Amino acid sequence: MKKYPRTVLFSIIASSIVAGLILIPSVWLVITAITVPFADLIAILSRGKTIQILINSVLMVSLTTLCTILIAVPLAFITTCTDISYKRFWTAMVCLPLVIPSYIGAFAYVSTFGPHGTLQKMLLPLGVEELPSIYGLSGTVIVLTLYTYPYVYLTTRAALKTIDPQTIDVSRTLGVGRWRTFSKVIWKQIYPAVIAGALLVSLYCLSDFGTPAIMRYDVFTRAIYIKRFDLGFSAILSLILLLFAIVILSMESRAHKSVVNRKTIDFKGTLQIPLGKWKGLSTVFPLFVAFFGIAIPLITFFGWFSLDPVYGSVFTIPYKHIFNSVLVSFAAATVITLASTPVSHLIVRKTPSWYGIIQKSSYIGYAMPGVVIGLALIFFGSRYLGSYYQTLPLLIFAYAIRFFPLSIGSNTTAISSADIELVHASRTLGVGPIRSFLKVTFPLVTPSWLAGFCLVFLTVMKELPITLMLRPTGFETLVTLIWMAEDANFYGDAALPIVMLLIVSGLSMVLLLMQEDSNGRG
Amino acid sequence: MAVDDSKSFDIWPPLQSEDPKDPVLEIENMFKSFGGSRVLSDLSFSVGKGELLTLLGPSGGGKTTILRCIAGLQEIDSGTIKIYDELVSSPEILVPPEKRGVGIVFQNLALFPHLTVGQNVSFGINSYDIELYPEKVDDLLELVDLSHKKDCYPNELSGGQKQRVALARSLAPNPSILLLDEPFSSIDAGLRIEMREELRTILKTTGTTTIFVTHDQEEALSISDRVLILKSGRIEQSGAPQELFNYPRSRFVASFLGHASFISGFLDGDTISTMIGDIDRENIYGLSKEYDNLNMEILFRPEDINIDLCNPKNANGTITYQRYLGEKILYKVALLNGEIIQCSAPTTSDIPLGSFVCVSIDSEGQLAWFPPTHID
Repeated sequence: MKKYPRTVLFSIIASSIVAGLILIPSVWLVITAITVPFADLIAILSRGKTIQILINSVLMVSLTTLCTILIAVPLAFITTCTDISYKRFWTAMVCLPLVIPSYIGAFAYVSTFGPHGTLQKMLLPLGVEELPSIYGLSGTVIVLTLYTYPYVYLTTRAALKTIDPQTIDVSRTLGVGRWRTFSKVIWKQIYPAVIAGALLVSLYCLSDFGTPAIMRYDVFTRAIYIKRFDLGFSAILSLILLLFAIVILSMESRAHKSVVNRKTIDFKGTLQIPLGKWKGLSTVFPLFVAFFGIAIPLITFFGWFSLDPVYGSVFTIPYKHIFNSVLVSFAAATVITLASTPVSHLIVRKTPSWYGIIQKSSYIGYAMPGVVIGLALIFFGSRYLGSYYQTLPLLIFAYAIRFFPLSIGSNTTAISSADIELVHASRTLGVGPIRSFLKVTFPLVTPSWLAGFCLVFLTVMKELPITLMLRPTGFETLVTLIWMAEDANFYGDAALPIVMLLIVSGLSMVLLLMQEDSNGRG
Repeated sequence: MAVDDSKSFDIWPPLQSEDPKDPVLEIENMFKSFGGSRVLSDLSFSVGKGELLTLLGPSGGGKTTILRCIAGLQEIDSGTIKIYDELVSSPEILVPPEKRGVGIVFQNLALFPHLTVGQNVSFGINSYDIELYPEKVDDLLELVDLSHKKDCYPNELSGGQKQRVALARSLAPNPSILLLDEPFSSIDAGLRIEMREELRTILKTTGTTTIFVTHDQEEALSISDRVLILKSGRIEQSGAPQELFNYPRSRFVASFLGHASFISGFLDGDTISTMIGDIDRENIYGLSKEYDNLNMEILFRPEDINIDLCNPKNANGTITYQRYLGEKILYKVALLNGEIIQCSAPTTSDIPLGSFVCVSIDSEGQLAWFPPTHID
């Protein structure tokens, strides 16, 4: 074996242990699923319910993905490549839905457009007794589209910015007209990025639990949650779900590569197409999208503050829930950040060959929907970790599996910002190793390391399915409070927690965008 | 009183350069402003069939704007542009770029990053033409010596190769006129000379009418049939490279095309006396009778001057500056009356700064003269 410095050797051992721990529950779940007796397997697969779930999931994912493309691509074009007024404002507005977790969006839509919802009450005097149902496929697709299109928007926008405006001019002088230039030059150049964004959306929809659950639409995640105590059935559903996720992820990574490869020649400026007489009309589209994505939920939530106390206590601050949320998120963020540091260290040091497997396996959280992790730990925990089942350590372990990749991203940035050459430079200037660490490495690493910690902290705080499935009995957080309020129509109870979660979510988005910024510069 | 240096003056007999007989492109009285600042001012010129015309001028002189107007990527404020006698641009008319048959190669080349070399080149060839002439792309790639790179993407190519792809792509639809906007700017200096020889050969082989834009005077002089010197959106002078170099009509042109020194002299009878010696009247271009007994300034190129180390008593100047140019050294010499003259000498000369030197005239052809900048 090649000789590595002691620090690297330590990281190899530590990350092997971490990766092993992360893999155990998922491997166990997979083994459970494939060891289901063949006859049972056939019975489960041929059950009407199973087929229905499969069809529903495929329908939901493909329709949502299609809708996000139809919304995001024109939006990206209008707000990036034209002379629309207040460009920065519109760009910010159409990105804002990212801040609203889709289950909270779904909550708003159900309470506004659902039976006995705000809209119906408003329309009742006009003689409208029933609205078209928001539940089911249509509601799920509408809500998921509104809160995931920004993924496609952002990738498309980035691609549009890499188009050299002069390639458009060249195309015209080569005898190709305006519209054919759009399809031959612009669309062909942004297409891989659109696909990459759309695949992110597909993965999100496939693994999202909250939205279809609130919309009462039977897809994999909802079925796994409901049937979580029927191990054979839910394990097989999980396995199918996992396979879908892995297929999407591998397609995504291929699409992502071709996006990166295309970046070539340097040029200045971004394509600018004057809108002329369409200038005023073109703001209607972003306005429309922002209205449904941002304004409707915000109006709904703030409306709850003036609700009758019958619907819950609006102004009671849920101290216990806040404390629990912060406690569990803080603990999870600490564990995750510490555990992912050796893995990030290996990534930065580019240690070769089979250690790559360690990195890859610690990324499993990307592919594993929260419900699948929850399910794996419910059974693994109850069977092998009796005394730990339904305790905080197990819950934190589940968060760790899910959000490990997130932490690796920011830790890698942190560690690579402390170039070893800088330490060498410091040493040659006569500063000892410990003071070099304190004066050079530490100040360089701290900002991104801290940012990574906060990102994990904030993201854990809004995680829904894992919290629901694995929390100790009686352990309530902001998220579970919202969930139960939705279930019981106690909107008032949910108002304050939702506002808090939106702030948490907003902060995490800011951190995420900052991190992407610094990665782009590197 | 200071004389406006920017204006050329008509004291000389007309030069032989005239508008080409068989024009592909004619521009008349073209004006163009951006947001109140005038970029092009009363511009008129034409380009003959198969001619290689260079627009030369300092950066920001409106050269790129001229090309964009010709290509139809920019509307014009007044005047006309005609291609083969057909009006394509006027304040009322703007034939779209795809209907003009004008090819363009931009400064940054603007290759389509998502297409291979072969696809880039075939981009502008319509399917009908491909049926008639299926080997066209291969022939073009052979012309620019890139047949082996047909399936590569632009990011796999070197700067020079990208440049040749851009050229082949623009030639593919057989444009009536080809516009080249500083196409060598992204290529390193060594390769640039080789590339421009190659470019000229290709353009002459294909008989392509070309407008070439550059701010590099050496490039302009070496590649062009005719050069048009632009300053602040106006034509300063146009003509064959040698004619411009030897007989500049303004100090701007003289200085822009190479190292130029202006030394005062006085015309009396058949000689002009200067600090560095007398010159016969017939060795000055275009001095007619009416300029007798007048102060004037003579244009000297470094090659017209000889310097030698000499005794301080006989010396008429001191070295104040030297710059190593490779094959020779450029000196600046302060003459006794304070005038500065630039001259060059072989690297073997190596005269130290501050040395006293004897400066003398060593010129074979005719020299150009200008009225003095200051009239006492």
